[in-house]
Formats: sequence, C-alpha cells, structure tokens
Amino acid sequence: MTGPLLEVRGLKVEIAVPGGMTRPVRGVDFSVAAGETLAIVGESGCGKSLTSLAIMGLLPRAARLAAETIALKGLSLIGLSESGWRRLRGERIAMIFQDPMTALDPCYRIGDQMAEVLRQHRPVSAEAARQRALELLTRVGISSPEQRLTQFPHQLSGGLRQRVMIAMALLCEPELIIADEPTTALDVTIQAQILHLLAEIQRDTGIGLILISHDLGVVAGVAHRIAVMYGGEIVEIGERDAILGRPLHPYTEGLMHSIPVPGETRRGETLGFIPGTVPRQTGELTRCGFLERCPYATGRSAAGPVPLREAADGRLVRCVLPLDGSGRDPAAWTRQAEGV
Amino acid sequence: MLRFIVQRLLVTALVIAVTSMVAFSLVHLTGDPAAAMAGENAAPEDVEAIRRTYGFDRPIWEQYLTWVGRFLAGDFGRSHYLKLGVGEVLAEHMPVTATLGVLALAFALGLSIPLGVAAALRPNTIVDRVALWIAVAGQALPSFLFALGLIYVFGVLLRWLPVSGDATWQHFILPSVALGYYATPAIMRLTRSGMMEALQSDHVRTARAFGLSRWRVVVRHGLRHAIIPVVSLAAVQLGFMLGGSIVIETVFSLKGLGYLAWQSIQRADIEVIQAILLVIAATYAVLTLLADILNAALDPRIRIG
Repeated sequence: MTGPLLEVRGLKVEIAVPGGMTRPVRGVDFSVAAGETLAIVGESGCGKSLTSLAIMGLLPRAARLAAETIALKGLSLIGLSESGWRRLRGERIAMIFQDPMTALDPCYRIGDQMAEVLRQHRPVSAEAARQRALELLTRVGISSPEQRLTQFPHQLSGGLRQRVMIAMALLCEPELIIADEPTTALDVTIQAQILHLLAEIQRDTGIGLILISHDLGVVAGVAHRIAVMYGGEIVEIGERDAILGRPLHPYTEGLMHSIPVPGETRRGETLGFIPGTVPRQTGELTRCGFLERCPYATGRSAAGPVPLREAADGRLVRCVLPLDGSGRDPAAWTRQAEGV
Repeated sequence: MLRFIVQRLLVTALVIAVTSMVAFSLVHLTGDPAAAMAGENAAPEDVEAIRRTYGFDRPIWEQYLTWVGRFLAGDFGRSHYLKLGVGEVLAEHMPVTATLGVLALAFALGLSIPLGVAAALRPNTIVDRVALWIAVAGQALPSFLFALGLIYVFGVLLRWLPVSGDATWQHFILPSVALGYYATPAIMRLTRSGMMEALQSDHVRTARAFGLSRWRVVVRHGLRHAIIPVVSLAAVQLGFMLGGSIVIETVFSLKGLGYLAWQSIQRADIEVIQAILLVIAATYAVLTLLADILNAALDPRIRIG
C-alpha cells in the first residue's frame, strides 16, 4: 500500500453568522487507507458531519472551506470543478445518509433511482442497469428484490431503505464510502444488522469506510481506527483497541462512561454523562476547548491551546494530562453526574 | 389509483349538484323572472301568461327538478331573446373562451415556471429580483390597462397582430398574453418557494451526492416536487380565466362565454344565465378533479397509501 486512500490535512470550515464567524471545523487531520474503517465519533455540533460534507464538496453555500490537503489517491479535491465533482461523487466516493426515510426521492421507484445513478456514470443499457440493481439488492440482503425494484420508498421500512441506500452506494464500486450516522434513525435491532452489513461489505470489497456516529458503542464493533472529535477538533485518534481499552482524553473517557454495558451496569446505577453542551466558539481557541466540562481540568488547561501529542502506543491525544494514563480517576465522572 | 379516481368523481358530482342548486336559486330569488322577461311596460296579463308558460308559478324545487331533468336529457332550454337553443348558443361561444383560457394558461405557465425556477436557483440575486419584478408588474397593472397597452404597442404602433375579433389564431395572442400575465405572479412565487424547499430536501442532497447532472437534480428531483402545489393553483387559475375573462373579452371584442353572460344578464335571458353558471361551476369542479389526478400521477404517496 503506497500512501493513504484519502488524506485530509488542516481541514477548516467557517460559517458566517450575524456578529462574526463560527468555526465548526478548526483544523482536522486524518487519513483513511484502503480496506480500513475509520470511525469519527463526537456529540452533536462537534463538526463531524460538516467534515464529511466537505470531503464530498457538498458544504452548504454559506460555509467556507479551507484546507491544506484533501486528496483521494493523490487527486486533490480542493477547488474541483462542478463536473469534476460529478465524476467523483457516486463513482469513486459514495455517501450514505442518516435518515433513509427522506434520503430517497419519494417520487421514483427504487429500481429507477438506482438505474439513474448507474447510467449517470456508466454507459449501460436500461436492462443491464436493472440487472446490476437486482444483483446489489440481493447482495445487501434484500429478499424478493424484483418486487422491491418496482416499489416506491414509502412502501419500504426504514431498515430496508437503508439497505437500498447501501446498494446504491455500491453501484459504481467506489473506493471510499462515507456513512454519516447510518444507523441513528433505525431501531436498535436493525442498527446491528446494518452495521454488520457495512462491515462485511467493507471486508469483502477492500474499500475505505468512514463511519460517522455520535455513539461510541455503535462503532466499537466495526471500526479499525477511531477519531474522537470535540468542538471542531480531533481530540484523540488511534487504533480502536487502544482507545477503547484505555481512553486517554477525558472526553473519550466521558463518552465511554455514558455507554451502559450489558452485564456490568447495574439497575439504578447512575450512568456517567458529560454535563453541558459543546460551546460555540467564534474566534481561535486560546485554551483547551473541553475545559469547562472536564473533571480533570487544571491550571495548565487554561494556559494556551492544547496541541495533539503522540502517546507511547502511537495514538494522538489533545490533553495536558500525562499520556501514560496516570493521575486519572474515572469515578470523577459518576461524581460529576450525581452532582457531588 | 382507480379507487382514488372513483372517490374524486363522486366528490366532483356532489359539488356540481350543489352549485347547480345555488345557481338556480340565485337566478330565481333575485327578482321576478317573468316581470324581467316581459319588460318594463308589459301588461299584468302578459306577465301572468309568461309566468304560466315558463312554469314560474310552480314551487321552486319543482322547477329545479324539471330543469335538472331536462338538462340531464340533453335539453338545455331555449333562449327567449335569441330564439335559439341554449345548446347552440353555448356551442358558439364556448370554443372562444376555451381557446383563450388554455392559451392564457400556457403563456402564464411558460413564463412563470422558468422564472420561478431561475429565482429559486439564485435566491436574493439580480436574477431573483428581475423575476419578481416581471411577475409583480402583472399584478400591479389593471388587466384592461395592460390589454390596452398591448393593443397600442403591438396593434397600433407595430401593426404585428390583430386586436379585435376571433377569426384566426393570431387574434388570440394578445388577449391570451393579457389574461395569462395576470396569473403569473402567484404561479411564479409558488414555484419559487416550492423549488427553494425542494432544493433543500434530503433527496436532492442524495442526488447531488451521487453525482447526478445538474439538470437531473433540478428538474427530476427538484421541480417534480415543487410543481405539485402549482398544478392545483393552475387549475383554479384556469377556472378563473374561463369564467372571469369578461374584461379581456370585451376589450378584444371576443364573443366568448364572459361576453355572453354579460349580455344575457342585461337581457334577463334566464335559461342562458343558468346554463353558463352551471358550465362554469362544472368546469371548476372538473379542473380540480383533473389537478387531483395529475398530482396523484406525480406523487406516488397520494395514489399508493
């Protein structure tokens, strides 16, 4: 493997609002290799969805993008023309959205929507497009696919529609799939099925997969690497087992404490949670962005912006605490949650 | 889909039945029809004779049922003034109004939908402002003034188009523009707001994220949704054009339904007035039905519950 599939360096998104400039994404670096699943995790407003839209060139008109590098196999995506984007989207990078109830066009049959995408990118006959759609619907585990082809989105359940979205994403055999909260709108039992399907397809095809979620528990099973975002920055990024085994950033630790663990979390026990919400910062950060909500905050947290530092196992962490994990007391989360 | 159409047909029939009652009662309750027909200086015996001949002395519900029965049997009555069957009179005037209405609607849609789409694609820019200005000018000018302006420029100054009568298709161009322009602002604004909403929707984002061409995104995934309320509005506008074009028909000397209605009211030609009211009411009801069916064809969620 020479070089990453997708490389992102210094990605910033700014949106003009009355009275200034919000900076929902403030300098994000990461890369995704072919055959790898990178999970980007963080709560609402941390900038994860804007990051994915920036990679697709689909930022809202009001947003301004700045980046050193956004490159797919060496092809820079910065300042790409509209026709350049059209050849890329759906063809080399595909995207799966959060709400399958509204992401498909209610006016067209499933088969027609899939054929439209395929025939936009490949010079194939209508019949060949139908066969390909049929093949992919079968691939994503949809029963009686012939019948589904002629149905409209509102006749399908949420789980089925998300499978259709996945099938659509696979039509042109993309190199990268970005799944933005693909299971958030689904029932818990369906969530697991969809995640397994994504993981299985990723394994079989060797594509790169970016899985965006607010739920660390959801991505834990399928991600190879995890990037935790907070306030528009990556606060911790590394191998999944390392991060889940021993989170080093207090925010990651807080996220993990707010996941109930079957068999361990007792009835009546207070789950940890992180008080407050992501603060909206307009200017550059002058101190640790997580300071107000952190049970471990010290004087050094307020001294200046905190850089990403490399821990012994190779992961990157944006925190002033010692990166060997000393000096932490996870019980602080429960105490904070109970207001002690 | 079949069940949907049958349901709508029943509703349409009901609407026509109710409006026919209202139309009939209005004509009979706004004065003594026999006296109106006889004229100002008629002798009381003559008025009485007319009353008996036309059955005005019978209870109104009986008159109504008789009228409906005749109508359903294909007998639309006679115009006592023109000495002609009402069917013949209508057959002479209806094509003029229908041609005018359809052409006017075509002009209105052809102008306002592209303007609305252009405005929605570039909101709050010069394109948007110009589109709004063109549309609003249509509403600000009284229609007879705009019609006279058209006659002056294209008929008198440039001598490009005829300005009076209905002999050729060219005769319909100016009146259609004058009538259609008036419907432009509402359709344009509805198209614009519908397009703005459609372009913000998730499925349009999906279409863009899958690299579909701009044309496909805007027309197939945007306009298709934005057009649904426009269809209903256009049906009402067409009904309005068919029934309310008296001013334009007068200005351009078109012998259409509006012109006929106006003359018949002056002549107290009751049979003709009733028939026109019924035709216009039925036209509205049928147009609404067609709009509903067209919308069901456009949006599968309406036809497949």
